[in-house]
Amino acid sequence: MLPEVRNYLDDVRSHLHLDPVAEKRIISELYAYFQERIAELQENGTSEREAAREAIKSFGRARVVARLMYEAHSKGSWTEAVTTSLPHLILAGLFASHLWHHPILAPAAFASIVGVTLFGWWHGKPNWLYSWIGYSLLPLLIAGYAYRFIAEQTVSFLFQGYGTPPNVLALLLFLAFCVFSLWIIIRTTIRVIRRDWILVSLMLVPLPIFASWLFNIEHVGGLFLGSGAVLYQWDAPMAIALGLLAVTSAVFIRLRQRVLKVGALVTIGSLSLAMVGHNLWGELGLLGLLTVSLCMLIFLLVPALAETKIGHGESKGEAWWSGDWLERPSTTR
Amino acid sequence: MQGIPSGYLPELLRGNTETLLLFLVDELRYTYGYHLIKETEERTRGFLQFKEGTIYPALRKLENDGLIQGQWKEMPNGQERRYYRITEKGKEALRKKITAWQDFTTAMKLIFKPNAS
Repeated sequence: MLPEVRNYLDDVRSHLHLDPVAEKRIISELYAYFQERIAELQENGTSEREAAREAIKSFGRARVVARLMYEAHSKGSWTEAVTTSLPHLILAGLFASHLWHHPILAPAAFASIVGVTLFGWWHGKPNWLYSWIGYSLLPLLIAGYAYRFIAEQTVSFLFQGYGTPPNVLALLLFLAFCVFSLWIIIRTTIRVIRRDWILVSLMLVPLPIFASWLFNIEHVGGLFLGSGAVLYQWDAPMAIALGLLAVTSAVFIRLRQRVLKVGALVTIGSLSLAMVGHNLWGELGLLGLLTVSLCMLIFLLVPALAETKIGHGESKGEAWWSGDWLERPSTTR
Repeated sequence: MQGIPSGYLPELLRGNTETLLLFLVDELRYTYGYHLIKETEERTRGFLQFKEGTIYPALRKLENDGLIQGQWKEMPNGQERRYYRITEKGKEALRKKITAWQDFTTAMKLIFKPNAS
């Protein structure tokens, strides 16, 4: 492959933000076009390198082509829109019916979400998957937060000299769990960032809402020890916020333009957190609401910065132009 | 093309790219991106010139919408092309688009007709 064509296709690919199968098909087709166009120009007496430059020039700017390709692929079906909103709706339903504390229903809901996530992860990572991934990571964070007393007990005993000595086995298990959870969360986030940072924002948007709720639950006895109506006082705003996220994720899937997807996510994500914060922490006032919205905005846009460091593609530095990467008549329909 | 001013509205072409492509894919039966570019140029004697970079996204959109179906094919000289054919859904969509276009042009002609009175 000529370096001019390779660099151009690399530029297109780095701005596509699509699933690997779609990216492969697009780049293969563009590569086939350039081969044919360059050969035609060469027949008319143009040198190979000059032909490549001319073909690239007439094709248009790589970013524009990538944006058009993204818009051609990015609009999901109504089925995908409903599927992506389902985990939000499941959790909204648990809060609306005060059943999030139920010893069977809540774990069953999370087990189902994890099951669907694993299925989607191993079946081509479709666009509807990312909201499910966020909820699959949530039990790890909740469990880590709930059992943090093991670490607190150890710190108190070792460094402040009071309290009971820690159970070494429990401490080791807790540390192993923390390392494992962090590994899963970081690895998953990096994999998704390599595909598209917007999907990380979609994936993580419920986390600040749940974190805010969890901190407040601690003040009324904690997630596992608390009981009674006091535990359920924030269920209505949580159900509404998650319902809003369900609508947002469905809209996100149906929109074609990237900028509109980001706008919808950031606007409704910030509004949801502001609404939950307003109910959890009492009257926030305009400044408080703006601060909460700004925090959510920063949280949702941090993956964009991370993408500039991590890069794009299944693995960084992948030699996709080697020829084997391209789609072939023998390998696909 | 004789008699047609060169400063046609690019927006008009942009708004009708998919209909044009769908029509050509239907008429040519089994065709590929670069052929569609050349065919459009030839048929309109260079009046309509697609920017190459816009044809392929339009083809991808038509394929994703299920209006055309693509298939890789290896040529005798070893070159590979992605060929497209129209689907039943595409034929139905094309019929509707052509009807809408004909209605639109008829209405436009009625407006542009010199006032008889």
